[in-house]
Amino acid sequence: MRGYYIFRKKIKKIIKKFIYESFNIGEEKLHDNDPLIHKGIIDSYRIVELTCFLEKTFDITIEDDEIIVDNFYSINSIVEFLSKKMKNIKSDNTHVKEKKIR
Amino acid sequence: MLKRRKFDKDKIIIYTPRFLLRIVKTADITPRYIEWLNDLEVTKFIVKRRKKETVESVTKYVNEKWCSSNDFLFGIFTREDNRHIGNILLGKIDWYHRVGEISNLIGEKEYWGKGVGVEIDKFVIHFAFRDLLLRKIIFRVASGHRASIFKSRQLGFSLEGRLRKHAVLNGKFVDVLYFGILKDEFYTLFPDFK
Repeated sequence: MRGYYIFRKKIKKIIKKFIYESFNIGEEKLHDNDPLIHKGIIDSYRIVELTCFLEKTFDITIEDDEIIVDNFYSINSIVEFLSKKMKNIKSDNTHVKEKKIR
Repeated sequence: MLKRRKFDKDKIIIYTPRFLLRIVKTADITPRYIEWLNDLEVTKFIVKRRKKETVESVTKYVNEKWCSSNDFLFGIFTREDNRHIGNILLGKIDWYHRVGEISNLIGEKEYWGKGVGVEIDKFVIHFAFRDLLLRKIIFRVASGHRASIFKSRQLGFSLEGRLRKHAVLNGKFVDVLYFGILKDEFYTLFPDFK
Protein backbone atom coordinates (compact mmCIF):
# COMPACT_ATOMS: atom_id res chain seq x y z
CA MET A 1 0.00 0.00 0.00
CA ARG A 2 2.84 2.37 0.88
CA GLY A 3 4.46 1.61 -2.47
CA TYR A 4 1.23 2.68 -4.16
CA TYR A 5 1.30 6.09 -2.46
CA ILE A 6 4.94 6.59 -3.36
CA PHE A 7 4.08 5.65 -6.94
CA ARG A 8 1.26 8.21 -7.06
CA LYS A 9 3.49 10.85 -5.51
CA LYS A 10 6.09 10.25 -8.21
CA ILE A 11 3.50 10.48 -10.97
CA LYS A 12 2.24 13.75 -9.51
CA LYS A 13 5.74 15.19 -9.38
CA ILE A 14 6.41 14.30 -13.02
CA ILE A 15 3.10 15.77 -14.21
CA LYS A 16 3.57 18.96 -12.22
CA LYS A 17 7.08 19.42 -13.57
CA PHE A 18 5.83 19.00 -17.14
CA ILE A 19 2.94 21.43 -16.67
CA TYR A 20 5.12 24.06 -15.03
CA GLU A 21 7.86 23.79 -17.64
CA SER A 22 5.81 23.33 -20.80
CA PHE A 23 2.79 25.51 -20.19
CA ASN A 24 4.54 28.61 -18.83
CA ILE A 25 2.69 28.74 -15.55
CA GLY A 26 5.27 31.12 -14.14
CA GLU A 27 5.17 31.91 -10.48
CA GLU A 28 1.52 31.04 -10.07
CA LYS A 29 1.06 28.41 -7.42
CA LEU A 30 -0.89 25.48 -8.72
CA HIS A 31 -2.82 23.36 -6.25
CA ASP A 32 -3.50 19.71 -6.89
CA ASN A 33 -7.25 20.22 -7.13
CA ASP A 34 -7.20 23.42 -9.17
CA PRO A 35 -9.37 23.20 -12.30
CA LEU A 36 -6.77 23.17 -15.06
CA ILE A 37 -9.26 23.71 -17.86
CA HIS A 38 -11.17 26.56 -16.23
CA LYS A 39 -7.89 28.26 -15.39
CA GLY A 40 -6.90 28.04 -19.05
CA ILE A 41 -3.86 25.87 -18.31
CA ILE A 42 -5.11 22.95 -20.39
CA ASP A 43 -6.96 23.54 -23.64
CA SER A 44 -7.60 21.50 -26.74
CA TYR A 45 -4.15 22.33 -28.10
CA ARG A 46 -2.20 21.58 -24.94
CA ILE A 47 -4.06 18.33 -24.38
CA VAL A 48 -2.17 16.96 -27.40
CA GLU A 49 1.20 17.84 -25.85
CA LEU A 50 0.17 16.54 -22.43
CA THR A 51 -1.21 13.21 -23.65
CA CYS A 52 1.82 12.60 -25.88
CA PHE A 53 4.08 13.31 -22.90
CA LEU A 54 2.13 10.93 -20.65
CA GLU A 55 2.21 8.19 -23.28
CA LYS A 56 5.97 8.49 -23.75
CA THR A 57 6.81 8.84 -20.08
CA PHE A 58 4.58 6.08 -18.72
CA ASP A 59 4.63 3.81 -21.79
CA ILE A 60 0.87 3.78 -22.17
CA THR A 61 -1.61 4.44 -24.96
CA ILE A 62 -4.39 6.92 -24.30
CA GLU A 63 -7.50 6.03 -26.26
CA ASP A 64 -9.90 8.49 -27.90
CA ASP A 65 -12.63 7.74 -25.37
CA GLU A 66 -10.29 8.49 -22.46
CA ILE A 67 -9.83 12.08 -23.62
CA ILE A 68 -12.60 13.44 -21.45
CA VAL A 69 -12.74 16.50 -19.22
CA ASP A 70 -12.97 14.41 -16.01
CA ASN A 71 -9.61 12.73 -16.64
CA PHE A 72 -7.82 16.06 -17.06
CA TYR A 73 -9.80 18.28 -14.71
CA SER A 74 -6.99 18.76 -12.17
CA ILE A 75 -3.56 17.38 -11.34
CA ASN A 76 -5.22 14.94 -8.96
CA SER A 77 -7.61 13.81 -11.72
CA ILE A 78 -4.70 13.10 -14.07
CA VAL A 79 -2.90 11.15 -11.33
CA GLU A 80 -6.08 9.18 -10.64
CA PHE A 81 -6.60 8.44 -14.32
CA LEU A 82 -3.00 7.32 -14.81
CA SER A 83 -2.94 5.22 -11.65
CA LYS A 84 -6.08 3.36 -12.73
CA LYS A 85 -4.82 2.92 -16.24
CA MET A 86 -1.43 1.63 -15.17
CA LYS A 87 -3.02 -0.65 -12.61
CA ASN A 88 -5.14 -2.18 -15.37
CA ILE A 89 -2.14 -2.61 -17.64
CA LYS A 90 -0.25 -4.26 -14.79
CA SER A 91 -3.10 -6.68 -14.06
CA ASP A 92 -3.46 -7.42 -17.80
CA ASN A 93 0.24 -8.29 -17.99
CA THR A 94 -0.03 -10.48 -14.89
CA HIS A 95 -2.86 -12.30 -16.58
CA VAL A 96 -0.70 -12.91 -19.65
CA LYS A 97 2.18 -14.14 -17.51
CA GLU A 98 -0.08 -16.53 -15.64
CA LYS A 99 -1.36 -17.87 -18.92
CA LYS A 100 2.17 -18.48 -20.12
CA ILE A 101 3.12 -20.33 -16.95
CA ARG A 102 0.20 -22.69 -17.35
CA MET B 1 -42.43 19.41 -39.29
CA LEU B 2 -40.37 22.56 -39.15
CA LYS B 3 -40.48 24.49 -42.41
CA ARG B 4 -37.23 25.30 -44.08
CA ARG B 5 -36.56 28.85 -42.96
CA LYS B 6 -35.29 31.58 -45.19
CA PHE B 7 -32.52 33.70 -43.79
CA ASP B 8 -30.97 36.82 -45.16
CA LYS B 9 -27.44 35.57 -44.80
CA ASP B 10 -26.00 39.03 -45.27
CA LYS B 11 -27.60 40.12 -42.01
CA ILE B 12 -26.40 37.30 -39.81
CA ILE B 13 -23.66 38.47 -37.50
CA ILE B 14 -22.60 36.71 -34.33
CA TYR B 15 -20.46 38.52 -31.79
CA THR B 16 -18.28 36.55 -29.38
CA PRO B 17 -16.00 38.25 -26.84
CA ARG B 18 -13.04 38.26 -29.23
CA PHE B 19 -14.50 37.55 -32.66
CA LEU B 20 -17.17 38.48 -35.13
CA LEU B 21 -18.71 35.73 -37.21
CA ARG B 22 -20.39 36.49 -40.52
CA ILE B 23 -21.20 34.45 -43.58
CA VAL B 24 -18.22 34.12 -45.93
CA LYS B 25 -18.61 35.86 -49.28
CA THR B 26 -16.50 35.61 -52.40
CA ALA B 27 -14.99 38.98 -51.46
CA ASP B 28 -13.40 37.24 -48.45
CA ILE B 29 -11.42 34.87 -50.66
CA THR B 30 -7.88 36.11 -50.37
CA PRO B 31 -4.53 34.49 -51.25
CA ARG B 32 -4.06 33.95 -47.52
CA TYR B 33 -7.34 32.02 -47.30
CA ILE B 34 -6.26 29.77 -50.21
CA GLU B 35 -2.90 29.33 -48.46
CA TRP B 36 -4.55 27.85 -45.33
CA LEU B 37 -6.50 25.36 -47.39
CA ASN B 38 -3.32 24.13 -49.07
CA ASP B 39 -1.34 23.99 -45.85
CA LEU B 40 -1.03 20.33 -44.87
CA GLU B 41 -0.58 21.24 -41.21
CA VAL B 42 -3.83 23.22 -41.14
CA THR B 43 -5.80 20.54 -42.97
CA LYS B 44 -4.02 17.56 -41.36
CA PHE B 45 -7.18 16.16 -39.80
CA ILE B 46 -9.71 17.20 -42.39
CA VAL B 47 -11.27 14.08 -43.80
CA LYS B 48 -11.77 14.89 -47.44
CA ARG B 49 -10.22 14.07 -50.75
CA ARG B 50 -6.96 15.96 -51.07
CA LYS B 51 -6.81 18.36 -53.95
CA LYS B 52 -5.07 21.61 -54.53
CA GLU B 53 -7.38 24.48 -53.76
CA THR B 54 -7.49 27.42 -56.13
CA VAL B 55 -9.39 30.69 -56.25
CA GLU B 56 -11.85 29.00 -58.64
CA SER B 57 -12.46 25.93 -56.46
CA VAL B 58 -12.88 28.01 -53.29
CA THR B 59 -15.16 30.50 -55.07
CA LYS B 60 -17.34 27.59 -56.21
CA TYR B 61 -17.43 26.21 -52.66
CA VAL B 62 -18.24 29.58 -51.05
CA ASN B 63 -20.99 30.25 -53.61
CA GLU B 64 -22.50 26.81 -53.05
CA LYS B 65 -22.60 27.40 -49.30
CA TRP B 66 -23.99 30.91 -49.74
CA CYS B 67 -26.85 29.65 -51.92
CA SER B 68 -27.61 26.61 -49.79
CA SER B 69 -30.30 27.02 -47.15
CA ASN B 70 -28.84 24.01 -45.32
CA ASP B 71 -25.40 25.47 -44.77
CA PHE B 72 -24.01 28.47 -42.90
CA LEU B 73 -20.33 29.02 -43.60
CA PHE B 74 -19.16 31.62 -41.11
CA GLY B 75 -15.86 33.42 -41.38
CA ILE B 76 -14.12 34.09 -38.07
CA PHE B 77 -12.91 37.70 -37.94
CA THR B 78 -11.06 39.33 -35.08
CA ARG B 79 -13.02 42.14 -33.49
CA GLU B 80 -9.81 44.02 -32.90
CA ASP B 81 -8.65 44.36 -36.51
CA ASN B 82 -11.19 42.50 -38.65
CA ARG B 83 -8.66 39.84 -39.59
CA HIS B 84 -10.02 36.65 -41.16
CA ILE B 85 -8.47 33.79 -39.16
CA GLY B 86 -10.61 30.80 -40.05
CA ASN B 87 -14.05 29.45 -40.78
CA ILE B 88 -16.77 27.56 -39.00
CA LEU B 89 -19.40 25.62 -40.89
CA LEU B 90 -22.81 24.86 -39.51
CA GLY B 91 -23.98 22.63 -42.28
CA LYS B 92 -25.83 19.60 -43.52
CA ILE B 93 -28.92 20.88 -41.74
CA ASP B 94 -31.80 18.47 -41.90
CA TRP B 95 -34.84 20.67 -41.28
CA TYR B 96 -37.16 17.71 -40.82
CA HIS B 97 -35.11 16.08 -38.08
CA ARG B 98 -33.74 19.47 -36.94
CA VAL B 99 -30.17 18.28 -36.83
CA GLY B 100 -27.06 20.03 -38.07
CA GLU B 101 -23.36 19.41 -38.17
CA ILE B 102 -20.57 21.68 -37.04
CA SER B 103 -16.94 21.83 -38.12
CA ASN B 104 -14.27 24.46 -38.02
CA LEU B 105 -10.88 25.36 -39.33
CA ILE B 106 -8.49 27.86 -37.76
CA GLY B 107 -6.19 28.86 -40.57
CA GLU B 108 -3.97 31.34 -38.73
CA LYS B 109 -1.67 29.19 -36.61
CA GLU B 110 -0.91 31.94 -34.11
CA TYR B 111 -4.52 31.49 -32.93
CA TRP B 112 -4.07 27.79 -32.22
CA GLY B 113 -4.16 26.96 -28.54
CA LYS B 114 -5.99 30.16 -27.62
CA GLY B 115 -9.43 28.70 -27.03
CA VAL B 116 -10.83 30.04 -30.32
CA GLY B 117 -12.65 26.81 -31.18
CA VAL B 118 -14.45 26.53 -27.85
CA GLU B 119 -15.41 30.23 -27.86
CA ILE B 120 -16.89 30.35 -31.36
CA ASP B 121 -18.44 26.88 -31.30
CA LYS B 122 -20.48 27.82 -28.23
CA PHE B 123 -21.96 30.85 -29.99
CA VAL B 124 -22.67 29.01 -33.24
CA ILE B 125 -24.33 26.12 -31.39
CA HIS B 126 -26.41 28.67 -29.48
CA PHE B 127 -27.37 30.28 -32.82
CA ALA B 128 -28.35 26.85 -34.18
CA PHE B 129 -30.57 26.08 -31.19
CA ARG B 130 -32.08 29.52 -30.63
CA ASP B 131 -32.41 30.96 -34.14
CA LEU B 132 -32.56 27.90 -36.36
CA LEU B 133 -34.58 25.92 -33.82
CA LEU B 134 -32.43 22.85 -34.25
CA ARG B 135 -32.50 20.26 -31.49
CA LYS B 136 -29.24 18.45 -32.02
CA ILE B 137 -25.77 19.21 -33.35
CA ILE B 138 -23.32 16.59 -34.42
CA PHE B 139 -19.62 16.78 -34.86
CA ARG B 140 -17.43 14.33 -36.78
CA VAL B 141 -13.76 13.88 -36.10
CA ALA B 142 -11.03 11.53 -37.24
CA SER B 143 -9.80 9.19 -34.55
CA GLY B 144 -6.58 10.46 -33.03
CA HIS B 145 -7.41 14.14 -33.48
CA ARG B 146 -7.10 14.75 -29.76
CA ALA B 147 -7.47 18.53 -29.87
CA SER B 148 -10.89 18.26 -31.50
CA ILE B 149 -11.96 15.33 -29.35
CA PHE B 150 -11.10 17.27 -26.21
CA LYS B 151 -12.79 20.40 -27.51
CA SER B 152 -16.00 18.50 -28.19
CA ARG B 153 -15.88 17.12 -24.64
CA GLN B 154 -15.38 20.62 -23.24
CA LEU B 155 -18.48 21.69 -25.16
CA GLY B 156 -20.49 18.86 -23.65
CA PHE B 157 -20.68 16.58 -26.68
CA SER B 158 -21.05 12.84 -26.08
CA LEU B 159 -19.41 10.18 -28.16
CA GLU B 160 -22.27 8.50 -30.02
CA GLY B 161 -20.51 6.20 -32.40
CA ARG B 162 -17.40 5.09 -34.18
CA LEU B 163 -17.31 4.20 -37.85
CA ARG B 164 -14.40 1.82 -38.13
CA LYS B 165 -11.72 2.52 -40.75
CA HIS B 166 -14.22 4.79 -42.41
CA ALA B 167 -11.95 7.36 -44.01
CA VAL B 168 -8.55 7.73 -45.55
CA LEU B 169 -6.38 10.26 -43.79
CA ASN B 170 -2.77 10.85 -44.68
CA GLY B 171 -2.62 7.53 -46.48
CA LYS B 172 -4.14 5.48 -43.66
CA PHE B 173 -7.61 4.15 -42.95
CA VAL B 174 -8.89 5.78 -39.79
CA ASP B 175 -11.99 5.50 -37.63
CA VAL B 176 -14.41 8.41 -37.68
CA LEU B 177 -15.98 9.35 -34.36
CA TYR B 178 -19.44 10.86 -34.12
CA PHE B 179 -20.16 13.23 -31.27
CA GLY B 180 -23.53 14.78 -30.56
CA ILE B 181 -25.13 17.30 -28.26
CA LEU B 182 -28.82 17.92 -27.60
CA LYS B 183 -30.26 21.34 -26.93
CA ASP B 184 -31.03 20.60 -23.27
CA GLU B 185 -27.55 19.26 -22.63
CA PHE B 186 -25.97 22.39 -24.06
CA TYR B 187 -28.05 24.81 -21.99
CA THR B 188 -27.53 22.74 -18.85
CA LEU B 189 -23.79 23.06 -19.29
CA PHE B 190 -23.88 26.69 -20.39
CA PRO B 191 -26.87 28.26 -18.59
CA ASP B 192 -25.60 31.78 -19.34
CA PHE B 193 -26.58 31.27 -22.98
CA LYS B 194 -30.19 30.52 -22.17
